[in-house]
Amino acid sequence: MGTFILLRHSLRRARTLVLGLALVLSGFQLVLTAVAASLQRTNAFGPLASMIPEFFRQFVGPSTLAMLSFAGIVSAGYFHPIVIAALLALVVALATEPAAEIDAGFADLVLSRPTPRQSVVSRSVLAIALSTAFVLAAMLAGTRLGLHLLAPAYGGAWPSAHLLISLVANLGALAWCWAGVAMAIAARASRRSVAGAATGVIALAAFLVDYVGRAWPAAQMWARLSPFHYFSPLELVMGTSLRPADVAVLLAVGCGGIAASYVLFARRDI
Amino acid sequence: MSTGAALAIRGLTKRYGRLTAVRDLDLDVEVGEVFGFLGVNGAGKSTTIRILLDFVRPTAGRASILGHDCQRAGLAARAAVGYLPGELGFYEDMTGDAVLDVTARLSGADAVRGVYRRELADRLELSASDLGRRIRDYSTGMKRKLGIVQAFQADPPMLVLDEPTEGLDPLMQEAFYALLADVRRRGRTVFMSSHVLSEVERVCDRIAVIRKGTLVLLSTVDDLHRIAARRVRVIFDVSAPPPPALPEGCELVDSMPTEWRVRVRGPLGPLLARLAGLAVRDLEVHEVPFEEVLRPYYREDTT
Repeated sequence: MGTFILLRHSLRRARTLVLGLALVLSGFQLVLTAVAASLQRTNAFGPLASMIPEFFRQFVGPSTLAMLSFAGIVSAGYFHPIVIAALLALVVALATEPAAEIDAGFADLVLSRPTPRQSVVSRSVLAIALSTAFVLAAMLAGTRLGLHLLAPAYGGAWPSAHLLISLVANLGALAWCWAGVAMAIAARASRRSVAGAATGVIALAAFLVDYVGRAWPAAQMWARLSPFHYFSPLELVMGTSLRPADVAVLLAVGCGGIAASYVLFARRDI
Repeated sequence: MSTGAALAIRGLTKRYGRLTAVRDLDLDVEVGEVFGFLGVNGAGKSTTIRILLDFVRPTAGRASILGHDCQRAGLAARAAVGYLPGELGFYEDMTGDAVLDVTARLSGADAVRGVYRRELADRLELSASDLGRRIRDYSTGMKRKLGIVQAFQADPPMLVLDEPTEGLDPLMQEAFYALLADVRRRGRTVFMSSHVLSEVERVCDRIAVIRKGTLVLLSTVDDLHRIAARRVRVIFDVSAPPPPALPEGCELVDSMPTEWRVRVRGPLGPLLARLAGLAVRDLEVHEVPFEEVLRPYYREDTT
């Protein structure tokens, strides 16, 4: 009971952030569809691809060509670094709410009632799941709306529903993974700013480790330690199916972090 | 640990590394009592209160509220408590009504009667329009009043109040004391910390003073007054030499030809008996202010 009372309270407080982000990201999907339709209309994908120097094409790999397609441009909204950063910022903000409540003193009012501590963590888990699902659904709706409104003539070039669902699932799993990390950190922290900053630094380090690992074979082994290693949207755009093992790793890290947050929050002094 | 007391604390100890915040504390608060828990800042009052609410886990010892262990049966214990924190952590963007609604719902669906909540708000002069405003627009006193309403609104059997009148103006302090008198009449138990000793003297039945985590005084307010040394000025019609000895509990502080100044602990009877036969013109008895009675227990060099 306490979980749902707190969930309602949290969602009400976060509604501006969640609705705003959903609006911006779904709008971005619409814009990307418009860009893709424009490039398709002017047959610009071929000339654009030919302008890329050969050495760069070899360095980056075949994903460049995949990106320079109607489906590639439309899909870019699901793995653009800014989109990923925005979504992770949302989940970190929601995941660090227990620390924020301790910081503000609101936890004293909540936990002085017959409210189990698990309810505070469960509330955050549900808030993250619902908010992330809502934002991803809004992005998907933006893409579908854009395709139907702005690019009805290029139906043959549309990204398949399977691809879009795979991209959403991949991004959702990544968000869940970092939500777990943030929750585990926030369960021990007394300040939201500390928990958020720590999660941000770890995420940045993980991103860079994966980035270096993808470009430098000697660092590939270390890249496996980064959750971003298991996030491969470009491969999906190139036609590879979403690897269940990769999704399982991301979900497992997220669930592990959440399980840790239950234990840490139950044992800590408030 | 079932003692029948509203609050029972046994051997409670809390250490933070090398610092001992609370040391082997034993305390009972009876049902229907208004109990003052006193001490200087950092004495261990807040740590003790936070252990009662299971915010902080004790290193050793136990505490129970109405027979429910505060840690092992924390939910049952907290279901019986209304808590007013020393520092109120309201989100600034929430309205007063929203705060009361959330805390009421967390207390249990049937725990809060709207009529009683409105009565509390009225008594503390929080109007409906005040409660509809966001907390960021509240003054310190209004936040305190909102905190009091949220603590009292479920009419719990036990109230734990941390510095309840801090920030309240004198009129609202009076309203709060009247509220406290009402809940006491209805058999509720109040455990409160305060730095305002005149307030403690006025509203509390018993007090405990804690210093550096250790209990140094446990007494009724009446007993404290009784054992406190009174100052007695005896004025004579004719010169009276200093007495060679005074009854037990009486100490000659100063003597002049026609005047003695005596400090008396306990009843005045033995002194009056000693004065019989002397040409006493007048007798002045000065009660010691409560602050002065308690001051030695606050200081480190005395017990």
